[in-house]
Amino acid sequence: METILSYLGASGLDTDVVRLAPNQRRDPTRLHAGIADPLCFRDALLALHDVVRSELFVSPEEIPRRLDPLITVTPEGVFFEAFSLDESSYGRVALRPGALTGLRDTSYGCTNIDFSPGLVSGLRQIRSGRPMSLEVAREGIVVEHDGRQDREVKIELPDSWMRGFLEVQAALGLPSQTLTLAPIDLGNVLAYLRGRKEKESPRGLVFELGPSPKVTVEPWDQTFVLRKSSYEGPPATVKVWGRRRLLLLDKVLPRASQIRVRFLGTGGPSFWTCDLGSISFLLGMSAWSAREWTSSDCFRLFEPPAANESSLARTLATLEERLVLADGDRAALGQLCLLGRAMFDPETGRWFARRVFSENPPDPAPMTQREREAEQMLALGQVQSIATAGDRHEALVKGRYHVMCGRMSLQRGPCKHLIALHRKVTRAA
Amino acid sequence: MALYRNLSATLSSWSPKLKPYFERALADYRQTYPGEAEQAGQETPVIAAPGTSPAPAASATAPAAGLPARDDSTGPSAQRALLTVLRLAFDARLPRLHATINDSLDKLLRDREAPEDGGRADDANTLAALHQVILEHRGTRPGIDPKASRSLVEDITYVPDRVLESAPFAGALADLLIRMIGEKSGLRLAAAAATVLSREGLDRFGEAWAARSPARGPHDDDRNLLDPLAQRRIAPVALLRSIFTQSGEHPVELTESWQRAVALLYVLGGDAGRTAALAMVARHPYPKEVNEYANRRDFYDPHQATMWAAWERRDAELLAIAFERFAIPYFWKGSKALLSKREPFFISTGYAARSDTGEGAPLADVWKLVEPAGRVAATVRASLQRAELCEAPRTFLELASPEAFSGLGDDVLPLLESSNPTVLATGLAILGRAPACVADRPGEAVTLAGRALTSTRSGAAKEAAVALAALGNAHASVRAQAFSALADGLALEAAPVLQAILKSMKQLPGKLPGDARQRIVELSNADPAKFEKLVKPLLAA
Repeated sequence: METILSYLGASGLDTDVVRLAPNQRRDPTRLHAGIADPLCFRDALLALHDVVRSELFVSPEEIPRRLDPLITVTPEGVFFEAFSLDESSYGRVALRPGALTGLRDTSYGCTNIDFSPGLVSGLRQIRSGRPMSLEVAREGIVVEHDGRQDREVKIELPDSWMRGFLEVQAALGLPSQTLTLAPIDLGNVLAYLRGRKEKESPRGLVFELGPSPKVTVEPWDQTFVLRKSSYEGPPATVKVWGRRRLLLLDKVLPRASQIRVRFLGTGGPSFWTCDLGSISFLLGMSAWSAREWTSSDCFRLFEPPAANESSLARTLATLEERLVLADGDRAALGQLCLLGRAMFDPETGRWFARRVFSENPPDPAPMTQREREAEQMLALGQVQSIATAGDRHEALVKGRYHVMCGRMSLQRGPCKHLIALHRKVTRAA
Repeated sequence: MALYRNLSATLSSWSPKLKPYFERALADYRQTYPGEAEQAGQETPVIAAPGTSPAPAASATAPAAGLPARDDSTGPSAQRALLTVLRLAFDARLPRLHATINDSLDKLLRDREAPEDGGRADDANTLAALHQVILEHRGTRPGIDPKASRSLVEDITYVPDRVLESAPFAGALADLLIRMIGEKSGLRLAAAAATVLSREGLDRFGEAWAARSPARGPHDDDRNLLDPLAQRRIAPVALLRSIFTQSGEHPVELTESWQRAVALLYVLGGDAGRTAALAMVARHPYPKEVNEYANRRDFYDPHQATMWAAWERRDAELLAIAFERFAIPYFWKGSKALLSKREPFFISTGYAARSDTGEGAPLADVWKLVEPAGRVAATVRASLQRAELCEAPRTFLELASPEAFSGLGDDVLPLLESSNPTVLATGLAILGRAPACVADRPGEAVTLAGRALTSTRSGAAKEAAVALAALGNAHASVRAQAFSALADGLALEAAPVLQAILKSMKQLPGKLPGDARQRIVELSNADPAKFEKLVKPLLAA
């Protein structure tokens, strides 16, 4: 999918103003406000920059593929979102009411912002001694970039990248096990990881969730008691891979009061929300670093049955009118998230109007082998019901025989029976 | 034989890493061809190569001491000289002379365009005489083997400098070139002057150039000016100073040409050259943006040679300015910073800037030398303000004594707010050494150091522990706060950091909170070898 980024000037720090150059081809989004806590703002944006750049290596051929972060200005907050080059990490900075002061000249909408090295350099020089303000405006003082004021870049974004960006929204809405982690506890694990290089498998972090949560770092089997953290919920063990991506939280960790971790089970993605007061930084990690969001997870399949066309249109109209919804047709809202027209914030449980694509969204993901098999079963009317038995499930196929499937933790995504049944129910609804 | 002679002459300037390879080759040659080696040894090394012998310590008033004397091998390239006369004939509108010179050139180098008529006869005579002298005296540069393989563009011919110096037309030639200085003459004319004028003529030309200050042309290349100067080993102070300091902050960064000009001025320019070099280094711009690739310690060979020459001359003034403007070339040998050793060097290598020459003087010793020069306060302030931007200022801050930070607390604290752990560690190290500098804001310092204690970088965390102890000891008002921050840090797991925390807690009087006491006991029981000794006095207190 081709995306055009057109900027007038470049983002940067202009004395006491962080100027963000918006994409001229998108909504005319505007914002002028003071920044209540410049250091938290700085560290959150720098962490987002690390997410954008995160990959084992960045070859020159891949750099043009990078999409600058999206900024969404809403009445209840400002969001910056970015997706990593390797499609395995998602970052979101949320500026809640209180993070920005003296809001004026605001125009709600969603656009890309120029995330140039000049901006990063400017951000790194922010200190607490002087008041700072944030400005997103198409006009005004223009910071020249390489002696030019305007520039336009065409980026060919892989479909997997775009779909992954949307799958995250589906994953964010799923039920999860939540651990409230103290920064010092996570810092201990990260410091331990930073000082070592694993040369053999396993390479996971095993969280033992219970009244006294613990985490074990493999393959050294070093266990850290999470002394200052808490967990409320049924005891569980969750394993997380691709753990070095947690170092992306390094910049925000010293300023975080706590980190809320949402686990979607072993082999599932996890979401790490650092609470910086009125600013939060969310890091979404796919199951492991070599596994992008779209390979087989299909989080959209866990969403409630899709809404019909009229419900979808009605919900979209309401959302775009009010810009924020605390409740509504969950199925339609989930569908809008997958279409790139809405964004779900798990911290507040609200949906925000957000248009990821200036034109049409990418084609829906092609069916995986499992989906094709499920469609075939559905066409033949084979799957009739599914019953769980311990950590396994049993599918009643054509009323004659049962199929025992693997573990219910869905490490490899839903099986063909679950997909077939989900579609059956969805279509019946 | 020529190669043997030249290698022997330049061997002292090679880096210790490379030297053994050439020493071995030279020994092989001596063994295989003892007669030729002996003959080569008897002849004077004449190659116009970079630094041929180490410059001994000398006073700033004898800048050229230690350099090989200008000999018969110095002089501009003959091909360059011929092309220069050709262009001068063109600019002076002398078509007949232009045609004659054109015919004397290789076909590939000839001008396709002829100038308009209208030049002066005396100019034609002067240039014709110059042309004749070049043709008569051009030869292969001594010490170079003409049979050796080399690139097609390399010119091994030259015109001896003495010919240009003593030429009867030298004065008239200088007058002609001075007359030609105009708004549009550009650097090409200065390059022509550098190629063919005598020293006296070049001095006059430089003064006239400085007085008129013609603008640079869009395609002007500094190398056309500096190459003949390097070949002739002369440094026309007025001309170089005028060209390299004439507009704004040119050059924006330390370009190789700028560094060559400074080297020529400082090493070959005498007192006036040194003064010009001081002025140029003092204008070296500070970095404006964070650039992880610009560390401000890697420089081209000519600048390394300048600073090494300054060190050998014990020229504290230049070195102090270079410190203040982050223009000191240094490299790391383990944890020790060394000023790069480089013998006089003026040519363009085409290599990237770097400073790891293998040999050098400890930067701490250089800092000691420059301390009396009176620029320490300015250097420390500049370094504090730009510690975020590159590495050099952070290195200089480590060299400064605690007294140098007196009254600079407001500049030190922003370092502790940095998102860069290296900058953070630098700020903490300063507080550890000079806690008194934050006398007005000790509470803020303790808060920031306490936050740094939980850094995932053990270096920064350990520095934070040391800084907290120093702050607590220096400021009674924050002693309890510092102790409490250290006690909170006991929740960390990294043993080296915990040891640093326990050591710091030992230095501060304070009452252990219940959970801290429990944690200390736990640590002592878990790993007595690491913690028992440190824990005992705390529990006893």
